[in-house]
Amino acid sequence: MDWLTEQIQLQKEQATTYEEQAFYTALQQASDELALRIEQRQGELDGRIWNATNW
Amino acid sequence: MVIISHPEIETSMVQNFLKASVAPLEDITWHHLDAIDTLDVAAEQALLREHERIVFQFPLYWYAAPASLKAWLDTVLTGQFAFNGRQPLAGKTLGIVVSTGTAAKHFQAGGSEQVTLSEILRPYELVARKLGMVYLPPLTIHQLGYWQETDKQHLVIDYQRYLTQAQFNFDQKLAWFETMLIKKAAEATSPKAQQRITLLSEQLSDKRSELTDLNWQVQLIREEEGEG
Repeated sequence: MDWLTEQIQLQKEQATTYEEQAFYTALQQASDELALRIEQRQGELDGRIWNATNW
Repeated sequence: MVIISHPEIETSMVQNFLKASVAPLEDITWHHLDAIDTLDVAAEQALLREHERIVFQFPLYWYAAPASLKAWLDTVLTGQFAFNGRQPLAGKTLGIVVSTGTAAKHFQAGGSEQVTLSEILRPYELVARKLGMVYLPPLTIHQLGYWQETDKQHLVIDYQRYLTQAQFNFDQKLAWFETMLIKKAAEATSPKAQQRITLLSEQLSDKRSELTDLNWQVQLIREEEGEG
């Protein structure tokens, strides 16, 4: 589990209201999507930089 | 400002859920039309001028809003107000929050309703256009009673964002979460909690910048390779 997820889960566990719990649930989803997009962009960047046809 | 048209709001699960969802937010005007006996046109128009985001919220009755919204539109949007060449609401945003007792899958081409919600809600889109307003993609809530708990939690936040987020792209979504975290940090009861939430906000902000930077680099290489 990465640091961000760990912290979000911690905040969610300590949430005292329904709305606060909902906030950290939604934040976790946004954070997951952010991590996925970063991974995809890094993958694309690596793939394009190591494009043999440009060598 | 949320303008609600609902003749039985007290017993509506959807309306009660939505109202509870925005309880922690400040600056939301909750305007229930059915509770008003006689519309004060000048006061209603003043409310419209004061708010940047106007949201019509209602259950779908016979493919339209309940009567109170139509009465409000016909009474408040007078020719003098809307068409005297000044466009007092130009640049503001108009959103729709609509609930139905029918599953989403029926509102599509080939579905049993044979119509999409975008088509049904088209009159409001046209009103927005006539007034020079920006029309937001509607927030639709189908059969809330059947939703799973996690989906309901997401609705709380989707609804809060619908009322308060500046623009609806991923970057602005993250920016909205950051703003809320900063607010939560300020309201935190202990210095330790405050520090944790602030760190969370900073980390999210760093990752958002990282994505922006990566997007820019990828775009640059795509252009170099002739893909634009």
